[in-house]
Amino acid sequence: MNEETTNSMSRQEDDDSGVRLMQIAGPRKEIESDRDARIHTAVHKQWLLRVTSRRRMMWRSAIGLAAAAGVVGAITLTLWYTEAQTAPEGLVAFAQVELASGDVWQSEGSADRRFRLRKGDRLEIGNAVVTTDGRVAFRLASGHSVRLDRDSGVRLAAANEVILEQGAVYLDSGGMLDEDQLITIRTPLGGVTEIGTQFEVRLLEEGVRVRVREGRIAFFHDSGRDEFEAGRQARLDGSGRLVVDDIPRFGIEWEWVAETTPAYQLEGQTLKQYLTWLSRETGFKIGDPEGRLEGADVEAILHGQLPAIRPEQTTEFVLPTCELQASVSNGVLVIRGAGK
Amino acid sequence: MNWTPIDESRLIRRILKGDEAAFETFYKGHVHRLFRFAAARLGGDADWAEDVVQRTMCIAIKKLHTFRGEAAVYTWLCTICRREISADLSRLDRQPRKVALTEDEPEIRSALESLSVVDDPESHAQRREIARKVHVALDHLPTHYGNALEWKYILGLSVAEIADRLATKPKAAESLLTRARVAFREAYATLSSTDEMSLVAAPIDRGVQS
Repeated sequence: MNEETTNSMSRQEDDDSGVRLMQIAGPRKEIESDRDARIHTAVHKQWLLRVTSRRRMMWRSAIGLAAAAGVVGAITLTLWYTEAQTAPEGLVAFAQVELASGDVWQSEGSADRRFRLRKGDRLEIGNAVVTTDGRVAFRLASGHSVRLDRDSGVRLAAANEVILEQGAVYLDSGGMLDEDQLITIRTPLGGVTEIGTQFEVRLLEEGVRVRVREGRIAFFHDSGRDEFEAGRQARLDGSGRLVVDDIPRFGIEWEWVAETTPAYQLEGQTLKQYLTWLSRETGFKIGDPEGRLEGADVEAILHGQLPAIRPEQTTEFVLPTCELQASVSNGVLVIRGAGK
Repeated sequence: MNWTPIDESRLIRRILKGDEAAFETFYKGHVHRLFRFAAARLGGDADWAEDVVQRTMCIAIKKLHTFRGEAAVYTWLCTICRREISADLSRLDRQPRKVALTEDEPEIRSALESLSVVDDPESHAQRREIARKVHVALDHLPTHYGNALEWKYILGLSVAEIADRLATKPKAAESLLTRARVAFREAYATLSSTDEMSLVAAPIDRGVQS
């Protein structure tokens, strides 16, 4: 803003009696926080009921049409994977468990009723997922991967909202960016919305910490809205103070995420797809000093099954089949010919 | 909260699809000014206003799919709120007092000139009335206009800080402030020349007939 523009604006403001009136009036009064909380609870509940019943109506209409056409099975399957969050009355499908190690539980509205989670289990909107001595990874119908660390808990509030109640959660959008399916992680101090990314949100003793591994996130809190890129972490304390610094995209900070990686479905994937997954899961860039990936058939189809091991360990199984090997140096996964 | 200007129709669509961030933007963008709107019409009864606002917003959520975008969402909410207040008064079998809450002052300068330098109850009452009209005018502007004006001229934020909150450049924030000041003057002048409220509940206990 140049000085001339600033002076011009100041003169306009001095002449504007409306400005003087606003200064006399003072700030507008906001509702007390307890009243706000009561109103919010009631209105939010009404909204959840509204959204849920709307989806059940859509599902019932689709089933009615499908039954008439005689293809009920195919339609319901398609609805679950593409329309998402639609299910028979009383059940709104939301996600599916891909990995559950140790003590992992899903509980319904009342804490008295809960059941242990296993791989393949389906999760419902409105329920809570809790880990004690365990970790879990599940995939939302939108395709997002969600992982919980030990001693963590989330509530699946809506199709695109997860409330972090304890511990840490990691979200991976898989590089997708669909504005209609952006996921928000909500905490007592604010919400974090992904903008096509990988990030972790952790509740601290006094505050919340957000770490961005890839892409960007928007962090909404009482003081406003901040965006952070990959390689940055932000800590917000109870007084609203925000401290931002750098964080590496690989290493010990992401250890628990690596240990909660679901098994990679290798069968039918190309070498290029596998390396893309490997880079995302490890945070390492792919280095190709010998030009091996240019020469290699990166579109070659891979076969076989991998166990649920750490991502970097999968190179020992996969790369030799392509006459390649890998080593890690300064955050780069260096690909070379086998035998060198 | 996202302070950037909102495409209300798109926001409504996202809310109906189950977008939690959209719901929060809708809620936080309207609940405070709706509360001020209700409280002013209920004699300042905060408990009653809370009840009315809760019902108003729940009705709005149920009927969100009927919103056509012909008026601002806030205007639509105020219409629902007025109906709820009327219904309450009917249930309590109370006749509303018709009170002109604005002075018949068409010009803002008149409002300033009417302020007495003498520190007496009358000038305090004048200041309170001016403050009330200023807040009503701000509440009826688009959310980002009202917020930007309050941040700049009441809370003293810099243009750079306002630009940051609005996720825009300082030059754009300046332009917005200029447009907002014009809109505020027009809104305030309109308030000063019309009977802004036609229903006011007497400031007595609910259930006690006047």
